Amino acid sequence: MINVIDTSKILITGNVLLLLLIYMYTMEEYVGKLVKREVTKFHLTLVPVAIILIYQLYSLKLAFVLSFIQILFIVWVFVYAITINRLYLYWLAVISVVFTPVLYFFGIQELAIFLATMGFFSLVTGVFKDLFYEKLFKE
Amino acid sequence: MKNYLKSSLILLILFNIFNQDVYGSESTIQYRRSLESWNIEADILIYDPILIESEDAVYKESSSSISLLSGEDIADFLLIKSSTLNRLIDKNVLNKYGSIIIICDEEFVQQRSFLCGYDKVEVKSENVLYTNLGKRINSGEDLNILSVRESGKLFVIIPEQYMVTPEYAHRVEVYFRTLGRSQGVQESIGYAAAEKESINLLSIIRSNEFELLYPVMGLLILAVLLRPLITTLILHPQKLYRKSTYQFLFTVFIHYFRAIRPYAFIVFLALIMIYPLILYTISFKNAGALDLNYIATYLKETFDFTNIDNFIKNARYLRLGVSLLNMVTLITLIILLIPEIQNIFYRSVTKLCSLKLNENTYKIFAPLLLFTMLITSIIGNVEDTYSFLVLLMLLFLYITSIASRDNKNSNDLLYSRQKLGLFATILLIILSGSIFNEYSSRMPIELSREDLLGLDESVTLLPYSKLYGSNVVFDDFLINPEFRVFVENRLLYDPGYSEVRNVKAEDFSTHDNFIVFAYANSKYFATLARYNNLLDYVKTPTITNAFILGEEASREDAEYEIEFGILCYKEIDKYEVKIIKHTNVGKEAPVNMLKFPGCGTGESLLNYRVPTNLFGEEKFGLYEVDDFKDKSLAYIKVYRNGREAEVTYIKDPLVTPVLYEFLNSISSDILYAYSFDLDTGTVVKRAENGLNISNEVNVLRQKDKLKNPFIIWSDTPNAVIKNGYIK
Repeated sequence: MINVIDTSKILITGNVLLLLLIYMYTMEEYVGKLVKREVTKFHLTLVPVAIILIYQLYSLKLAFVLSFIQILFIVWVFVYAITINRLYLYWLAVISVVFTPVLYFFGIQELAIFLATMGFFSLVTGVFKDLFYEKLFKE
Repeated sequence: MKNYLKSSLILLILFNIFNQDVYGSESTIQYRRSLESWNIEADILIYDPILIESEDAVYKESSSSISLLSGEDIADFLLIKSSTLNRLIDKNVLNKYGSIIIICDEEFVQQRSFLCGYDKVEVKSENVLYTNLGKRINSGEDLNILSVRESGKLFVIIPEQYMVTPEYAHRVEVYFRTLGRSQGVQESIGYAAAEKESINLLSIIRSNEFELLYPVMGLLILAVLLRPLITTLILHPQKLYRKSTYQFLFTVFIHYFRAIRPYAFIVFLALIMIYPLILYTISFKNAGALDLNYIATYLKETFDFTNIDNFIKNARYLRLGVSLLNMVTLITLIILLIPEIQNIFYRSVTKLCSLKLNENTYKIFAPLLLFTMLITSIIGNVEDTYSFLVLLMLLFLYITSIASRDNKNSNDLLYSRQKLGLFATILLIILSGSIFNEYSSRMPIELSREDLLGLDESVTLLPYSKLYGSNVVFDDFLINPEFRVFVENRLLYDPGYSEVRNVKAEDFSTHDNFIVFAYANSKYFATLARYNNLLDYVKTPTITNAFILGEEASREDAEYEIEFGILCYKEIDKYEVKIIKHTNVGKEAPVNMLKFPGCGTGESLLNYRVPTNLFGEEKFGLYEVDDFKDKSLAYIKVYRNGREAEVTYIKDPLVTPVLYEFLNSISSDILYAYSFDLDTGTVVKRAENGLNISNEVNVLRQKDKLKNPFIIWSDTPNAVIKNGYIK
């Protein structure tokens, strides 16, 4: 059965399992004693994450770097968007949706499509916030 | 002599009384367009009433047989072809123009002292100064045009060859661009001067004088930007390890933008106010009215900064200016926004760090993320799933960091039973993932059956294009026709032979029975040039788009010219005739040979003879005319030192796919089919009742040798194939 799992899978899956172990068990105290410094779960979590990221960087090179920057930015925008007042998001959606047909009417289709996509994202983020924010965070 | 020449020119043009039919030409319009692209506005004299109604015509003047084709206003130049000079031109029309351009398409002689022909302009006087456009391609002789001024009128006389030979046309363009820029046109501007005048911005920027400037400028900018860092590095290197140093550097960076922000705001406001005015003017100038679509396209073009190079090359300075303005606007906007973005970033990071997780977020959301990561890593491969994995990891890191801060991930987080549940889930995921992988790798591919012709048809006219789905097996299809049947570049069936052997053209050798054919000409010319042994079988006396020269024709020390005869049986727009040279070492880049100015339906056969140095090499060459307009090429002639050289045309597989056949022996039952662009040979044997063509096609598909869609074709016109299994 193992023959269908290649090296990259073994490495990544192994590290994800390590993440699960770190999540479930208290290892930070032992590691702290070993390195003679205060170690938290977050510090331990960084190790397998770093291994996975370095491996991906090694195998995908520039494609990974570019994509990592993009993802970092997207995660930041998304997480920040769900922490702000949701009325901002809905107003952004309204403005985008109102201007979309106007731009389309003037023949600037590309910008209209761009605005429509922005409106869609604003709405999705707003709804996501309404549904999940209170379940995830407390004020 | 000079004065005599001038006077005779003016007399000839202004006062000749003409009485013949008037000549109109598509090429005159095309030359006008060329001049227009070189910033020279010219009106032309035209006869053809159809052309008068074309988009270039705004109004026509003169009720005589010649009409003036002009823009909204009278242009500075009037463009005339020499073939028009012996016909009636209204004196009043000519008087309106300060400059007259004469393109010599026909020989035009005045008192034996002045000659303007298709390829040269000559004045038998030492006092006349030519405008020299450099040297001719082959001979090294001067390439001259004549530019004379008399009574406030400028006459520019250009042989037509200069307008149709790409290399010469470029030099004429340089001359006219210079002319267009200078207010008073000077007599006999030398080419060198023209070249100097026309040196574009790009060449100045790239010149040696600026070679040192850029690194120095870069160094200065870098020094200004990195000054705090370098100062720290020199004075307090130990500070480089402190977080506060980088915070300080970041603050300095932002402070810099904050400091210049008020100025940027004023500049930005000014630009915003200027924009409507500029765009409104441009729209009116170029589109004739306020056209929002045009403005949008214009902005899109100028906001694409990769176009700047083109704007400079083509001397489109207005677009270049707008492009630079856009750049300044964008930079100003960035300067205005950077402190704001920094604020948002700072506030967001503070907010994200100060958020508190709900009791169950870490307990439920974190394992959910981890399980998703586990499934993704087991089932997917790195290339396809890495971005999703990174996204999940970043979210997990964020949750873990907050939980760590609030000490919510301590050892009492999960009960033993919950840990057991998690273990069970992990095992389940790993097991099911592995089983899924194993199953999917061993699962046989399900093949679906499909009719060869589709839609249950049993009869079709060839050629037939078949588009098929993945993992398809074609149902049996028996053919037994009286003609050959090919599939792409393979012959599958010949009625006279029970066995057909498809062999690569590269491996050609003669047999008792063989044919040479080409399905598509993608590698046809290249293979012919590389393996000369096939050339004898593909020669034809009929005009095609490819030719070779006789052995005597190619010599390095000769002067070559090529003449294109172009049939104007229908209206043809201007196009550039390019020739690709195939040699035994490969294919060379296409060379522009002729700027064909276009033709109207009134002209039957036009010929253009242009100099070239394409043939001046001893190595063998097969020449392919790249942009061959549908049957418009009447002939190609090559001249070596003024004498016509032997040109042999090569068969065009698009016209005759079976290029050669030698069917000598009836004793042999094997036919060799030599095909181009064939990677491996195949042998096809048929039964007595015919050939199940689907079997052969299925084999090709399994070996991944079948295109999608593929073409079933025959060299016999109107060939119909029928499935013999269906009665």
